Amino acid sequence: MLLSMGRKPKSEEPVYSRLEAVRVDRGITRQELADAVDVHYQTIGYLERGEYSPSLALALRIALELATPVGDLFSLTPFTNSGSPE
Amino acid sequence: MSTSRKEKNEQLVAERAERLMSDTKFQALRTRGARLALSALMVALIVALPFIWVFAGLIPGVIAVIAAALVWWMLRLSVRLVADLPEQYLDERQTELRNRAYVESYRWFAGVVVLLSSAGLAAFIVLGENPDTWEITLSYNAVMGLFWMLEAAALSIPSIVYALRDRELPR
Repeated sequence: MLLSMGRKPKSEEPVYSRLEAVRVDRGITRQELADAVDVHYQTIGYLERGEYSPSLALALRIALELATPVGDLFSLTPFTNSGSPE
Repeated sequence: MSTSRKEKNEQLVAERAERLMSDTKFQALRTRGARLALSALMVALIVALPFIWVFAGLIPGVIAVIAAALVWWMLRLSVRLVADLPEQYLDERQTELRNRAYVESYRWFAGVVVLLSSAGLAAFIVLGENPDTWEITLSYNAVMGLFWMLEAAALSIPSIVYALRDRELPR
């Protein structure tokens, strides 16, 4: 009924993250990445655990900093073992 | 305020924000348990303040206000002042969480005010003997108790809600 009325009720759509794996691979600490993209280091932790979905601007800034396509860092579907979204 | 004084003030706030965001000195206050304990203590003090003023008097009342101020200060440190800092010192996650905390705080505070004012009005109507001469008599201590309870609630609820919604992750 609600769905047929237009706007869907808000739900927390999970965003899957490979940020920690890529960051560690680049040898960067949370604090260094946080400083580079101008957020608090706690926010990097939340992003790595998939407990916070970044804005598009922040996702792009992180991708730029890690020289990685944004789709390799964040995805709406779980990542496979090879590191690509399902 | 002159421009230089304003700039100096902004610089002070910026330095304080910077210091607090990277602070590790008060980590003991930022654990889940400490935040819960501080929030519970603050709520208990808010509820107790009017009773302490009315039933225990001036000196215990003043001590309770000082205790509430101390707990409020610790609560603000535990959430790194996020509930009080201007938006330019917060990142997007902190801003989002802070904004949600303020919406929730408004609901809590409105609930407290509606409950208290409804109870007051009901008591006024039920206890008033002669409708033509209804009057409220409040002692000095009762006014102090009500004032400090509302003051403490208004100032601390945003930090309480933020403390209950946010948790610090390992560095």
